[in-house]
Amino acid sequence: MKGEFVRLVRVEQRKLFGRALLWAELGILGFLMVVLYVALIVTLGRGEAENLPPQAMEEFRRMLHWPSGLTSGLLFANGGELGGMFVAILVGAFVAQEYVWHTVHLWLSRGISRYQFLLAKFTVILEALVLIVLTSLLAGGFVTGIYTYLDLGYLPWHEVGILSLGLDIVRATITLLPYAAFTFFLAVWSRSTMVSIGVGLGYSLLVENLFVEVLSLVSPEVMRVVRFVPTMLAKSITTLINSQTELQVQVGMGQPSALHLLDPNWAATLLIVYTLVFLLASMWFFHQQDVAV
Amino acid sequence: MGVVLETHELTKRFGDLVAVDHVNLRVEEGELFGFLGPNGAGKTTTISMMAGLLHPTEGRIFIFGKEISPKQTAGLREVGILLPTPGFFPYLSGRENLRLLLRLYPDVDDQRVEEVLALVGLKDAAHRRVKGYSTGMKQRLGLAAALLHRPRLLILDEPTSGLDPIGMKEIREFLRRLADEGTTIFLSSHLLHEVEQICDRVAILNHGRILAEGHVQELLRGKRDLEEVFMDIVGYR
Repeated sequence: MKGEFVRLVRVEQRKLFGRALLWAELGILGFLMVVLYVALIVTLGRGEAENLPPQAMEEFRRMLHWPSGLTSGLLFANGGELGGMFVAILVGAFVAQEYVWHTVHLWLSRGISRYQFLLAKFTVILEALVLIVLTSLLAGGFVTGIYTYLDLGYLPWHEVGILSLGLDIVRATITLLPYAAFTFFLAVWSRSTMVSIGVGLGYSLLVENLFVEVLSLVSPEVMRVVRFVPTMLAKSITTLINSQTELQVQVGMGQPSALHLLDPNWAATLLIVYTLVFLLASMWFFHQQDVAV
Repeated sequence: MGVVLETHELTKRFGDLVAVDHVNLRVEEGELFGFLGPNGAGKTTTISMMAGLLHPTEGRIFIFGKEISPKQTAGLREVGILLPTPGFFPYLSGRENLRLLLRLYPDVDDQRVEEVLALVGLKDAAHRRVKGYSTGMKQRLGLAAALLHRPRLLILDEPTSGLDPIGMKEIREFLRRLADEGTTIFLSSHLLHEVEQICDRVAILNHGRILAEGHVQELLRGKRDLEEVFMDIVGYR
């Protein structure tokens, strides 16, 4: 059973890493990150940022200099940001297209367990999530590394903690998990690339943020529910990367309210719970499905 | 000879439509069994249930004595199945698609890919991406995929579909040869004359029900061909 699962994972690896979609996404993500950081640096250099409050200005500079600059790219890779968008496209295509191409019949008719098939797919998706995070890290780290070197004349490698860097990568990957699992579930349930990508993107780019904004308008008590939405759980975890403990939320013309994020360990646990719920739901649906020819 | 494939009261309903209606089949080892019927008779639905893709509404399927259902598919390990419009990864070549499948069978060596490509006449096109294949080429690749792991039972749904007359003849002769060498073959087709040429026993299906079953020669007794047999059975005159 274990041997068969390993073989299935290798097959899924070939399917995912052997196609242009993943590498195109990583290339676009890397390019966007470089453009973003160059724009930030140019803005800082032109002095327009001097209109910002001193604290924000300091934060801006810190984000562009190593060691913070090296990990700041992870903030954009997380689930509620660019990362979520790329994950929705990748997972939707990778899973739903097997129905469209009828290749799911190819595997199931060879005696492969439906559970193992889905689990192998999700295992390989986890690998892709790590690649998305690493791409953000490397792209952001590259540009901020050049900026730091030009500014300081050296790169402060001695200030980069390898262990904390590794933990930051894990944290950023965890923030992507529920978005991957949600799109995974949509792909299995709908069997449609368009539905899984469309709804997955719509949720991560629009619905979630709208939900947070609308609930924030109701009352401070209701706003506390917002802490449990995946994008807010992701922000909680990324505070460990960005050293923030409180997030100021400006709601329309209303008074800014302090939103106490959930403890990062609880946030990570909840994100994993969301992931498991969607994954188990996918497996249940897949098990019941008639996969007609 | 043992029983390789059997179904007991196999039934599939889609809402009010009864696509397969209490089908009982029994295929012996080494037979080339024809499963005949017009389009829409329920042949593909029956084969999809045998392949573990559809949940039977009632009834059971056994292959090599092991029950088959979407929840129990271990019995399919020694089966090669060709489904209509076989699915492959369009961004991979024919050869790469087969090599991907081969990873599931650690006991089968790489050379087998080239062997099956030659058997189905696809060696020259094996390097091309599947998205550029014609229907007939995809059908041949599907057959190659079904043969890859040297299965003891082949379940083929319309194996000559999309092929030209020469291709159809080649495949028929190839299947007959395989059966003579001991492989059990369960073959569905709506081409009665094709089945008549190569099958040992047949079952005739219409509106989801088996209307007749037996050795070809027995069914043909007093009739010109299987088409006449079929027309008599369904009452078409």
